[in-house]
Amino acid sequence: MLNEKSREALLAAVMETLETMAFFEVTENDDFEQSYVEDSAVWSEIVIQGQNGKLRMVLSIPEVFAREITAQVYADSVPVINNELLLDSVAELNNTISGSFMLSEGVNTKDHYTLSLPQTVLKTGSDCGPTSLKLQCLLDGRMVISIMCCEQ
Amino acid sequence: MKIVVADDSVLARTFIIKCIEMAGLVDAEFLQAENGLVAYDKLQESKAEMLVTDLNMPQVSGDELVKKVMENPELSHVRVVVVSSAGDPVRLNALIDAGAAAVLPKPVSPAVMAECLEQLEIL
Repeated sequence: MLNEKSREALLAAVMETLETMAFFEVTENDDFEQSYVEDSAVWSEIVIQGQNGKLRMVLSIPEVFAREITAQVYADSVPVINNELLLDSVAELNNTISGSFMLSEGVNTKDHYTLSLPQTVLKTGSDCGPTSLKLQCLLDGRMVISIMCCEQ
Repeated sequence: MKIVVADDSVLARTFIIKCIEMAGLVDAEFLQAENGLVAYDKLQESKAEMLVTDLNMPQVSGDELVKKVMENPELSHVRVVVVSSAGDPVRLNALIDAGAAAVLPKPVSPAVMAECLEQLEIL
C-alpha cells in the first residue's frame, strides 16, 4: 500500500492531527540518531486491513510527553491525567493519524479497508517489530514522537 | 438542543464537544456514549435532536447505529453526523445513502464543524 509519497503523506497526517487537536507546531526530526530516548513510553498499534494486505501503524510517545500532549488537548477540563486518559489519548491520536494517512495519496488504495481498534500500552523498551517506514517528529521543537508503518 | 456524542475515546468525545461549542452552539446539552448501544439508548431516552458518531466502536459500531436510528420512526427527527477516521469512500458513501446528514473525517476542527452545522441549518 505504501508508495514514494508515503513519507510526505505520513508527516502531513501527523501535522494535521497534532496541530488541529493540540495546537502544536510539528516538524520532522532531522537529528534522528540523536533522538530522545525515554524509558517509559506509550505505544499504540492499529492494523489496517485492505483488500490486498495489511498495514500496521505504531505510534510511540515518551510518557512524559504523552502526558503533556494529553493535558494540552484537555486544557483545564479534567483535573488529573490518569493512565486511562493517557492511553485513550495516544490511541485516539494514532487512530486520527492513521485515518488521515489512509485518505492521502501516500497510500495506494481506493478499495474498502478497515481500521482495527487501537491496542495501546504503557511500557519500557523500544522494540516495535519490523518497519517499512519510520518517522520522527518534534512538537514545538522539543517533544519527540515516533510513528512507524509496516506492510504485512 | 440535545446532542448525543458517540465515540469509544474520551478524548475524541471531549474534542468534538469542544469543536461544536467553538463553532457557536454554546447552549447545547451533550450526552456522551462510549459505543453504539449506549448511544441508541440515550437517543431514545433523551429525545435528542442530533447524533454525532464515530464508526469504529466496540459492541455496536457507528454503521449499525446509523442503520438502527434510520429504521426507527421515533428517531426520524435525529440529524446524524459521522465524524470518523475509519472512512474509506465506499463505507462513507454507504452511510450517506443510509441517511447520514454529513460525514466528516478526523481530525475535525471548529471551522469544519461550523460549516457542517450551517449547512444543516442548525447554526
